Amino acid sequence: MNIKPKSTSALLVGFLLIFFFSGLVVAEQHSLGQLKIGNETIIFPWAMQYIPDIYSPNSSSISLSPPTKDDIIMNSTNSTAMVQDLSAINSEKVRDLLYNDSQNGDPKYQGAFNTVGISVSGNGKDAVDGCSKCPKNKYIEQLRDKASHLGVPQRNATAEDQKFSSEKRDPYGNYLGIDVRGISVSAINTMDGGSAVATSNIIINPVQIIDLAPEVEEKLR
Amino acid sequence: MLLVPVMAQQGISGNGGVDILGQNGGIFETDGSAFRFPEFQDTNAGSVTVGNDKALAFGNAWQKSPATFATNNLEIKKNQDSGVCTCCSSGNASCQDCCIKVNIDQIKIANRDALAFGFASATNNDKIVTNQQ
Repeated sequence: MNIKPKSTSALLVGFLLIFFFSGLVVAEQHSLGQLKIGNETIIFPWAMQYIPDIYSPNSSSISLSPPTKDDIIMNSTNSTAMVQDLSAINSEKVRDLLYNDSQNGDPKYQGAFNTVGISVSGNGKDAVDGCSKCPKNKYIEQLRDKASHLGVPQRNATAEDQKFSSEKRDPYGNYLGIDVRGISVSAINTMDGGSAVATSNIIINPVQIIDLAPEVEEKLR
Repeated sequence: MLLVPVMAQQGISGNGGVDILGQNGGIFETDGSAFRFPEFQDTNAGSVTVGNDKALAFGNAWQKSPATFATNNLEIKKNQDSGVCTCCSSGNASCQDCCIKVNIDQIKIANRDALAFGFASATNNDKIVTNQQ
């Protein structure tokens, strides 16, 4: 006589469990093994599609791969870089990105104008401007546009035309935009006695100087 | 306070964008305000935008000392110098510039996420230095 209620309860509990898990799957796919923080989604190692073969007999007890170091050099002519997420699994990875350049006045504008847009972008989602698909940096684009729309001498102008007008001149100066976003590093250590190190170093040191010759300065007035 | 945006709107070229110290007499508009600068000036304009960065470290639960490090280092140091000039005499009809300087810096930093699980260390280091003269 007591068997019926037990089987009914077990059936009910089983049904509820199936309903609960199916509801989870419908509500948010791949929700297990992922952590949502704001707009970011962090995927835990056990939820990654690619699982490294860390337990194979051939694997080292300390590190699976030798340390790697990547160097990226940027300057004013190569001012845009796209980088991948840096991930070290039982290994050591270092990435150095260096921008170190100086502008001393664009000769095209008689040394009165410096402009550069520096951009370093990773894979990570970004919400600095409210959405990830918005234009990267409207300010940088406008700085670049400014170079082409300034009322300073045109490329095909004659030498005489390249003198700055005494009636009106546009403001000269230094225009600089720096945009760094979506840089992600992760280190995962799964071995007893092992280690994992992931380091991303980004150093950006731009210098803009306008040092006008006296005769140019005189023309600017 | 209302005067400045109105002045700016008069000079904006109508494309909905920002006229940065240029073609309409030196108007600078940010998200919430607009400023008008002298028509002739020596300008340093800088924009630094750092988006979301993330450092994530998963360490062993059985390892006593942290042997897992995820480090995100960012250093930006920019220098802008619009030079020096001597002011022209006010009696000169062609004198338009008396070495007026305008320095503008926009710095925007988004989220810095550092998450460590187990015996691990996750760090975001940011250093931003700007000089304008």
